[in-house]
Order: sequence, then structure tokens, then C-alpha cells
Amino acid sequence: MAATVAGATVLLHGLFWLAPGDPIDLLPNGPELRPVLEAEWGLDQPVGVRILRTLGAVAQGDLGYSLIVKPGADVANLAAKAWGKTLTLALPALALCVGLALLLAWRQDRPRLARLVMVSSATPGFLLAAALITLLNEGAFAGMEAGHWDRPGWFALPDQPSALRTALAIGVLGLSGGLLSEARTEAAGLLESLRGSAFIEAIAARGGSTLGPLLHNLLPPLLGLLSGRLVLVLGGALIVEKVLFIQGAGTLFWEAAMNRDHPLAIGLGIAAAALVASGQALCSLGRAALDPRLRRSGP
Amino acid sequence: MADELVVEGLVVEAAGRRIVDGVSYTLVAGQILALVGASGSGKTQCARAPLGLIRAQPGVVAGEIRARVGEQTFGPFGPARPPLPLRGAVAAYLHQDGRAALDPLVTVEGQLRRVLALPGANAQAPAEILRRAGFSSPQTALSLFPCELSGGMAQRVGVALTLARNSRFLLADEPTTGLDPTVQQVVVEGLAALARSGVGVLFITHDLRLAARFADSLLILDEGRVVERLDPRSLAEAQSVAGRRLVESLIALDGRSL
Amino acid sequence: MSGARLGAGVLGLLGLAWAASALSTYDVVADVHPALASRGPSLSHLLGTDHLGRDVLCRLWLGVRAFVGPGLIAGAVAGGLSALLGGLGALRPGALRAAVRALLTVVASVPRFALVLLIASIFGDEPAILAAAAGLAYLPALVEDIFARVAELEGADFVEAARAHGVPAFRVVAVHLLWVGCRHLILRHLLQLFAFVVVLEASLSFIGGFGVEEPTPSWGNMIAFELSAREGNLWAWLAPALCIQLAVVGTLLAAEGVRDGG
Repeated sequence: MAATVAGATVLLHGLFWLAPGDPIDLLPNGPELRPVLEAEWGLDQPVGVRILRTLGAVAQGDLGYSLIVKPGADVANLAAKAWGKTLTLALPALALCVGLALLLAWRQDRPRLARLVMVSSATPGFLLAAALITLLNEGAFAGMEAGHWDRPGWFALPDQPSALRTALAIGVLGLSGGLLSEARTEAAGLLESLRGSAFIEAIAARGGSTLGPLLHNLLPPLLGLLSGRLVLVLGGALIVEKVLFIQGAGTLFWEAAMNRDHPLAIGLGIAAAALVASGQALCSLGRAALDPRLRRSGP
Repeated sequence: MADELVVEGLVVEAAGRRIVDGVSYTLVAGQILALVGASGSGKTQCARAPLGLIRAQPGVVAGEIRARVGEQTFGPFGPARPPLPLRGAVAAYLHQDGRAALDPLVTVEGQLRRVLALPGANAQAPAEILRRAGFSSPQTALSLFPCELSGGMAQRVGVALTLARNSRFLLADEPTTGLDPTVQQVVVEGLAALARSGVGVLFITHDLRLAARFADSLLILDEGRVVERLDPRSLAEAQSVAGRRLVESLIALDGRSL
Repeated sequence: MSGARLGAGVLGLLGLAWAASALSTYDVVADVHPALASRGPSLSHLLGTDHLGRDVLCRLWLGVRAFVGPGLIAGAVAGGLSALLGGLGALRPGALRAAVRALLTVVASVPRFALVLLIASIFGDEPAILAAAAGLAYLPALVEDIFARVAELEGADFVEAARAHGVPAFRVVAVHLLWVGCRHLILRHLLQLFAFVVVLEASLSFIGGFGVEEPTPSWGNMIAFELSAREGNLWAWLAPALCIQLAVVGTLLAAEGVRDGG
């Protein structure tokens, strides 16, 4: 995991340093900040040295300071809070996606269902989110005009947190962007190979129940499934948060990108890589704890 | 009368071909019946049929399966009525690949306890069952996972699970194939011990010599039909083409007369 | 109709629309007719008009330009780089392959949208740059698959035969391993990448800031524009939405249909 974070740091900062032109000129308020930034970023030193310095800083948890979005604010702090908020959407969405995929895959292979899931889950996240929020708004307006209600509690303004929008975000994240379809296909493959395996047959032939052993043996590959989907869900959050007006890492990233606040954007990217890497590490640990075959070193 | 499992006129079809074409055999409790044939002779399907394990379509198209254990009779079962009630309580199946037949995530002890919890199962302790299955240090074996077992040990665990289940009959599908000769010996001795304790064993193999050494009776299978019934002590009297072919290959291998 | 045929049909349609759009004389700025605003479908405007009186069908057709070009660029970047990296990994397995793998793991750990946005914010938001970024973001999955396939093929008969005949290693890799062995899986990935570019472009134009800006039509910004007003022609936003869905599903179906021949 440390290697991935280090790698991400090098990659993202590298992209930044290697961009043509003076990086300070790229910033909207560059000329004013030039003296400060030159000193802090050590622009007089070669790129290699700069990257090493940055690695050292990141290792200590220092991701720099935001320049435009929240001038002077510590990026590491902002990133932690923002991704924390996004995780409260992403993790339930992940669970929803994989859980539903498993349910859909449980019955023997049904090509029509697979086709239907594929077509519906291919809807881009922004489209589904926009459609839902428009429906809600129309419904709220219609209700208000017809005099049914003044302003219903769930029709919150964009800058206020809303449980309904959060729930919508989780639903859209888990069910759009092709995630559900891919997860269902993988789950179906897993189930098929497990159901056909010799030991499940042996248990059935002894008159025992195969449900428990089946579910137990599903857990390690399921963890693998979760770990693989994490980065996709985090990416989806980038779009869904913006469309549904939720203040998380997604919206913050957009602001950073639009305003060319590079330290903030890069910091958020590094934090994302750290999240993905730790998620993968956790899942690997879980799989090894469950599956003795993974604990053996050697064939 | 001894407990018995009877298979009569079994016909198994897959993709238009008759894999098993009218095979009949009777397993008697306490005796080993060997079914010997070359690959493709349909012997695996003969072992899988009594427990409804045949996956091919259309599968069993004719034949009758019935069993008697003590006062209870089971069956008759046929194509219209799969022999599911025979599973576990009456008969058990031993896979060719011992390790693949074990749950990879659970220790030997865990798998034994799972079986011991089933209705009608043995009342003995896991360690004792392992000892009866031929393990010289049962305590060590209990904590092992299937990936830590050798092929022979895995087969013996399979035998132990049958003991735990208290099945009256065991249908062993080529349990020695792919194992070293010394290990083969151990596995077959385990089956012999099972038979001595009253279990009726069907021993499927393509190894005539092994079968002859341990079986009480021997059937030769060729292209889905039983072509001969041999006495293990007088293999040289084989009359059928397939039987003679198997006997001759044995003589060619080690040059001894039978 | 089989899924793959439907997918191929959709792709063909997109290609035709794209080629034809090069011949269009449509002036995006001048075609504003407030008097015709928000009319429903009629004979002169098959899908009606939008808020500014512009013909929806015409803008729909032109909107194809927003993603087909970038899609092809992304495909070229991903295809070219993956062939290069895959070939390198095949020629020199061991340390070089491991290094490439490590690099790809790092790239794969940053969410694709984030990587694209970051590159756009640093290098500028021209469509070509967005496209190249999308191709880069797709690289890890593609190269991993190529490595896996090459490893499978190492012992294959036709590879051994070529080597036994003294075919130089470079040719073996390029022709036998990459072309014969991997071209179907590369095509499949490139089609999935194309679907990603469609979604990427539409999302960016919908949200605004990066991506195609008004008045140039893009299916994403058409939806955003129409949804922001309450009353209006239903088809002005429903048509682009359906087109996006159809394009994505069609491309994915076509990708599914790329079976490995021989």
C-alpha cells in the first residue's frame, strides 16, 4: 500500500511538474504567489529532487496547501474530511451493488435477465441522477402548486444536506455505470463453478445442506469482487455528487479542477489512491484469513 | 438376510449415446464388489446413478434401483423418481479426486463434525473415526486443511466421512487412480476395513490387479455392458474379449502368471 | 436480432452520422429562432425544437462529433500504448514486466474520472487531451489482460513452431503473440473504452466546465440545457438521453460480441 501511495504521488506530481510551461503561471493568481511558491516547491531544484521532497512530505501526511478553493487550508485535512463523506456514500453503494448482484445471480443462468440488467445498468450515473432529481423536483413543484404542501421536508435546497438525496446518491452509485451488470456476471460465474464443484456435490450426496458451505466459500471471492469495484464506485461518486449537490470529495475535486487548484486536486487524487490501496489490502487480508490455500507460501 | 443395494437394468444416455447399456449389480453389506473396465466403459456412471448424481442429459432413462437396510426398504427408484432418499443414510459416494471432494475452507475436524451433526450419523468422536479410517495420528490430522493433505490422506478422510455418516454402502469411484502404489494400498486397505465393519463397497477401477486382490467379486465392464463376472482368484479363466484383454495386459506388465 | 448485430448496427450508425456531419453547413451560432422555441415534433422539425428554436434532430446528429473523434483518439492511444507495453512485457518478462505492472497498479488506483479531470486541469481541456487521458486511464486493465493472454500463449503450438523455424523474437511477439493471440481482446477493450468515452463526454458536457460548451451541440449539454427550464419540448432532452443510452448499450453489446476466433 505504501508503494502505491508513493507511486501515485510520483505519478500525479510528475504530471504536474512535467506540464509544459511554468506551473506557477498556470495558476490564476500565480504572479502574486510566485515568491512563496517558488520557495515552497523548490522550483530551482531539478525535478527528481522536487519529487523526493514531495515523497518525504507525503510520508509525513503533508499534502500541501490549497491555493484557490480554500486558500491556505491544509489539503490533507480537506481530503480526509471530503473522502470520509464520500465513503459514507460509496461503501453502502458497494454493498448494495454486490448484494443485488448476488441475488440476481443466485438463480440458474437466465440470459434474458442478464440482458435486462446489462441494458439498465449501463445508464450513465449522471443521467440516472439527473432524471431522478428532475422527477423529484417536478413532483415537489406540482404538489406545491396544487396546494398539497408548502415545501415538503424532503425537498431540501442544494446546499443543505438531505437524507433523500443521500439515499438517491447511494442508489445511483450502486446501480448505474455498468457496475451492477459486471458484478452480476462475475457472481454468476462464481456461483456456477462452486455449484459444480466436487465438494458441494459430495455434501449433497451425503444428504447434507449445501447452502452454508456455498455461502462460506463465496466469501473470499466476494471480497475480491468488492475490492475490485471500489475504485469504480469512488470514480462514480465524482459525477453523482456533483449532479446531486452533495458536498463530498467529488464536488471538492470538481472545484479544484475547475479552479486549477492543483495542490488540492493532486492531494485528493493521492488520497484516493491511498483509499483504494488500503481497501485492497484489507480485502486481501480477509481472503487470507478465510482461505487456507492463500496462507500457504508456495504451491 | 444381509442388507443389499440392487441396481437393475441401468441405462444412461448422454447426447444420443448410451454410456451405460443395461447394467445390473448387487451390493451386499460387508462385501467388496469391483467393477473393472477401461476408460469410457461407463463405470463412473454406474457408481453415480444410485445417488442421483448423473449430470448428463437426459441421464438415466431406464433401470430400477432399490435398497434394503435392516427392516427398511427403499425404492424402487427409476428415471421418474430419483434415488435422493438413498443419499447419506443408505449410500455414500467417494470421489476420484479426494482433495477436490473436501470443503477447502474447513479443517478435517470441522468437516467431520458437520457430517456427525446429520440425522442418523455415527455417535463416535472425530478422532476415533479417523483412527478407524486408518490414520495413525488422528489428532494431528484433525487440524489440517484439505490443501495440506496428500492425495492418499484426502481419500482416507473421504472414507472417514463415510464412516461418520454411517452409510451402509459406499460407491467408490476410482479412488486409487493417480496415487502412488504404496498409497493405493493404504486406501484400499481402508476400504477393506470398511467392508469388515459391515459396509457394502462398490470399487470402481481400471486396475484389475488391485481389484482382484481385495474384491469378493468382480464384474468386467465394456462399452456400457457387463460382459463377464469373474472370480478374483481365477482371473485366467476370463472368457470375454474385454476380460481377456485386461488379463493379458496384466501378464504383459509383470510377466507373472495369475 | 442478436446483441452483437445490434451493437454493430449502432456503431455503424454512429460512424455514418459522424462522417456525414463533416459535410454539414450548420452554423451553431446563427441557428437561433426564438419564435420557434419549444415546438413539439412536426414535419419540418422531426423532433421539435429546443428552447432557442433550434432543430433538435439536427443538433442530435451533430452532437455525434463530440465523442466519436475523442473516442477514436482514446482508442489509438490505448491500443498503441498497450501493444507497446504488452510487447515489451512479452519480449522481456521478469524485471521489465514487473516494473510495467507496478506502474499500471498505481494508475489503476486513481479513479478514472479523477485522473482524466486532473490531466485536463493541468494540460488543458481540449477534446484531444481528454481523449488521451481516457485512453491512459484505461491502460491498466487492457495491459494486464494482454500479459495474461501472452503468458497463456507462451507454450502454444504455433508459437513454438514459429520459434523453431527461427522467426526473430520481435516478429514472434508482434505477429504471433500480439496480433493473432490478442487482437480480439484488444478490440473488446477498445470498444469498452469507446463506451466510456461516450459517458465521459456526456457527463462532462452535462456538468459543464470541461467538455463541449454551448452553443456547440453535445448530447450531454443538450440535456443540461433543456432540464434547466421547466416547460418545454419533451424530446429536446429525452432524445439525447435515449441516444446516449443506445450508444452505450450498443457499444457494450458489440464488445460482448467480439468472441475470440480460433
